[in-house]
Amino acid sequence: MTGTGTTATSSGSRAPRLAISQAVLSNGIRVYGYENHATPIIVFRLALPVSALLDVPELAGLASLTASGMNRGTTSRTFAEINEATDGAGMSIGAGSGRHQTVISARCLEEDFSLALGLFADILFNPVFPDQEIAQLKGQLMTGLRQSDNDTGAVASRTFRELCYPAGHPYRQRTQGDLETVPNLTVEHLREFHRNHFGPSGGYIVVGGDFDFASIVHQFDEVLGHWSGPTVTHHAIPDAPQPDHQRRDVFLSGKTQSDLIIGRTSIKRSHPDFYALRIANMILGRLGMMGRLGETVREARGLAYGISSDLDAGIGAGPWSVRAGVNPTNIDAAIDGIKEVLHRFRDGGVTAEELDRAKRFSVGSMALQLETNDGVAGAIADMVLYGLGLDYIDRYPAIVEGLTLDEVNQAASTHLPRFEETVVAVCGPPAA
Amino acid sequence: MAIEVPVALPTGMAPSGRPQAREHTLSNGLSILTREVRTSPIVSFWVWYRVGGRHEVPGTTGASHWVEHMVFKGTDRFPKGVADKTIAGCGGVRNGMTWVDYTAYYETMPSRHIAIAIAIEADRMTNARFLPDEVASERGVVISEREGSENQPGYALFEETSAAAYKLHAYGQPVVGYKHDLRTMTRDTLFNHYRRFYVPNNAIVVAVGDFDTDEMVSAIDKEFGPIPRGADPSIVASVEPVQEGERRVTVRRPGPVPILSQAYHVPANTHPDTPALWLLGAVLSAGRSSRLYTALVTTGLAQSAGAGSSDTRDPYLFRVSVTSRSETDPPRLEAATIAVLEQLAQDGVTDAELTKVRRQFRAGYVFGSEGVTNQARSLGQHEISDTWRRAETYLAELDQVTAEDVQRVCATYLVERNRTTGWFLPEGDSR
Repeated sequence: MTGTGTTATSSGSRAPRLAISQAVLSNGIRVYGYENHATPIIVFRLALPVSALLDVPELAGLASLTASGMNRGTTSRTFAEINEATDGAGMSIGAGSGRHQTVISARCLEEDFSLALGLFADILFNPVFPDQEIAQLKGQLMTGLRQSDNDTGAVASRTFRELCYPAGHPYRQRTQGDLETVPNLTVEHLREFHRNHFGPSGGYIVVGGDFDFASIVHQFDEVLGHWSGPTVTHHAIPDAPQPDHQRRDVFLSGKTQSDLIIGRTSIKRSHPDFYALRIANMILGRLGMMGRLGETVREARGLAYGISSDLDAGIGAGPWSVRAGVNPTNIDAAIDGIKEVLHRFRDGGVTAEELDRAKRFSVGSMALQLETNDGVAGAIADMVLYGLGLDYIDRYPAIVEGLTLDEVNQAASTHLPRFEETVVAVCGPPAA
Repeated sequence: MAIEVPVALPTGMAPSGRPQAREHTLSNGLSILTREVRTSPIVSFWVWYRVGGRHEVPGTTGASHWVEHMVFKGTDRFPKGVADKTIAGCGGVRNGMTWVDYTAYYETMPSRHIAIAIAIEADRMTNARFLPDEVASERGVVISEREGSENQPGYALFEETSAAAYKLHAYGQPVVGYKHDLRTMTRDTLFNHYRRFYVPNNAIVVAVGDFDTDEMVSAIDKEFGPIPRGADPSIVASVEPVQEGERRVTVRRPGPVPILSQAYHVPANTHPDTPALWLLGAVLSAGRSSRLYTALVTTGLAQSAGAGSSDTRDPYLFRVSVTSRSETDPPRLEAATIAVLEQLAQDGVTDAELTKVRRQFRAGYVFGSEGVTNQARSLGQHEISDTWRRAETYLAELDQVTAEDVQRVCATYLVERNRTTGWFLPEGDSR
C-alpha cells in the first residue's frame, strides 16, 4: 500500500471541520477515512463500479440479485452462520447494487471491527450463491415486485421514468428487474457475474468512526489488499432526448389516494448550473413547509399532505420532478396549482430574501448532516463518486454564497420546464 | 408532521460515559430535561405534551393530530410561515408528531441559534391562532394524510386489528382519526382541545446538545416561565376489560399479498414485566437469526416478520406482524407463526439467545447515541410513558431479566384467549 495523507478542511465558524485521510491499498483500492472518537462505532463501505448498467435486457436485475445474494452463503459459512455472527455482535453488513455502483457496507461497534472486516471480506470474495438460498431470495424479490406493482407511489415513479426515458436507457428500468426477467436469473448467472465483474479495479472504501487511520488502513490492506479480479469497463450514461408532453394514468383498485408526478429529464451533477438549480429547487419545493409549492397546494388550498420537488442529478442526467399525494377528485386542481406555481417561479424568479434564506440553510445545516458517522461517510462517498475533491466541505460555503440572484433565476428559467414541456404520471383509483 | 408509530424496541440509552441528564421544574409546572453533549455544535430542542389519541372520544378522533398541524399555522408574534422560514434560515430542521400518549415538536439546529427555537415553542404553547380559514384548508390536508395511509394494506389491517382488540380504551381508535370525524370536527372543538392540554404543567421540555445547562434552563425559564399554570388536564382513561377469547377480523380489498397481524394485550410500561417483553420481542424478530425470521422467512413462507411491544402509559399491545409470500397458504402461515410462539412458551429461550439479544440492545444503544435528536427523543418518550431515567437504566434492567422471565411472559401473554388475529386478504383470493 502507499502512504497515507490527510486533508484537513474547515470552514470557519459556520461549518464543521472535516479531516479526511486517504491511502491506497496494495491492489489499488483507495481508502478515505474520517476519525470520530465521540462514540465507539465504526462504519465502512466499499463501492465498486458494478451496477445495472452491465445488465442485458433479458437478465434485468442480475447485478442487483448478485449483490443481495452475496451474503447467502460463502465457501466457509452458511447463510445461517453469517446471520448468527452479525446478530450476535449487533452489527449489520449488507450489499446492494444500484444504477451506478455496488456498495457493500458495514456498521459495528469498534471492538467488533476485526470480526466485521473478516465477514465482509468473506462475503465479498467467496460467495457461493447456494441453490436453495437463491431460490428463496428470488421468491422474496418476486413478492417485493408484486408489492411495488400494487403501490401507487412506486407505480407512478415507474410510469414517470417510462415517460421520461426511451426504451433501453439505463435510467428507465427498475434496477431490481421485473416479474418477467427475475425468473430467468439462475445461480450460474450470479456466479458468472460475480466472477467476471467483481474486483478491486475502481473500488474505494470510505470509513468513519472510532479508529486510528494508519492502523485501520493496515488492517484493510492485510484483509483486502491481496484481492485481485477483472477490470470492469465503465459504461457511459447516454443523454436522453426530452420527451413530448403527455399524461399517463394508471388505475389501481382498492386505493383511496392518487400519486401524481410531474417533471422531465434534467441535468447531470457535473453541470455548471447544478448548484444554482439545486438552490432554486429548494425554494420551489423543499424549504420550510415544502417551499412555494407547499405554500400554495398544501397550505392555501389544502389539496395534499405531501408535495415536494426533487432534483435527481447524478452521473447522468436524472429527472427533476414534483410529487404529490392527492385525492383523485383533486388531481386536476393539484395539477393547476403546480402549473401556476411553476410558471410564476420560472417567469418571476426567486427573491433576494428567499435566496438568502436558502443559502443560510444550505450552509448552516451541514453540521446536522455531518453529525453521524453514516452522514459523514455518505458525504465523502459523494465527493469521490462525483469527483468533488476532498476539500469540498471546505469550499461548499463559498460555492453556495457566491451564487447570485441572476444565476439562480437563470438556472430556474433554463432548466425548470414549463408545464407543457413535462410528462405527467398518475397512479390511483379512478375518480368517483 | 406525522403520525408517530414508535419502534417496538427502545432505542434511547445511556451507557457509562454518556453525559447524565438533569431535571428541573419551573414554578408553573413545566418539566425540563437537559443533557449536555458537546461533540457537535448542534442542539435538539423538544416540547412534549401529554396529549394524543388516548385523550380522544368518538366524534373527536384525530383531534390531537389535527391540533398539531394547526400549531404550525402561526401566532401573532410568528405569523404563518415565519417560524418555518426562520428555523430554515438558521440551518435548522423542525417537525411535529402525534401518537397515542403524546404530541411532540422539535427543532434541531446549530447551537448558536437555539434561542429562537425556544422562543417559537414557548409562543405557540398558548398563542396559536386557529383561524377558521386555516382550519378549513387543513381539513383537506389531514384527510389527505389519512388517505395516504389508507392506500397501504398494512395500515388498513393495523386500524382494523386495533379496533377489534379494544372494546373501550381509546388506544383502539386511529390517531389520525376516522374520516367522518375529520370531515365534521369544528374549529372550536380543536381550539378547546388545544387550550385544555397545551399548558406548562402538562408539558416536558427536552434539550440535548451543545449548551451550558444553567444557561439553557435560564433561557427556557425566560420564555416559558411567564406562561401561567393551567387547569390539570389529566383524564380518567378507560380500563379495558380482560379479553376472554380470540377475536378475528378480516380486511378484504385488492392487494398484492396476505398480511397477518396478531395483537396481544400486555401491561403498561410501568409494569415489572416490561423488560422481559422487550427481550421477547428481540428474540422473536431482531435480525435474520431470530425465531420468526428463521421459521417463516428463511423457509420461504413469509416476506417479512416482526414482533414487539410499545412503551405506553396504559396497557397496550404486543404485536406480531407477518407479510406472506404470494404463494403461501394463509392458514399454513398462521399455524407456523403460532407454532413459533408456542414452542418458545413451552421450551423457553437459550442462554445464547439471551446473550445475543442483550448484545443487540447494547449495540443499538451505542448507535443511538450518535445524534442529539435521537437522545432527546428517547428521554421524552421514556418520560411520557414512565420516567426519563429509564433512558439511562434500561440496559441494566435487561440484565436482570432471566430466561425463565422471557418464557413466562410469552406463556402468560402470547396466548389464544388474549389474541386478536387480523388478516389482510387480497380480494378475489378464495383461500
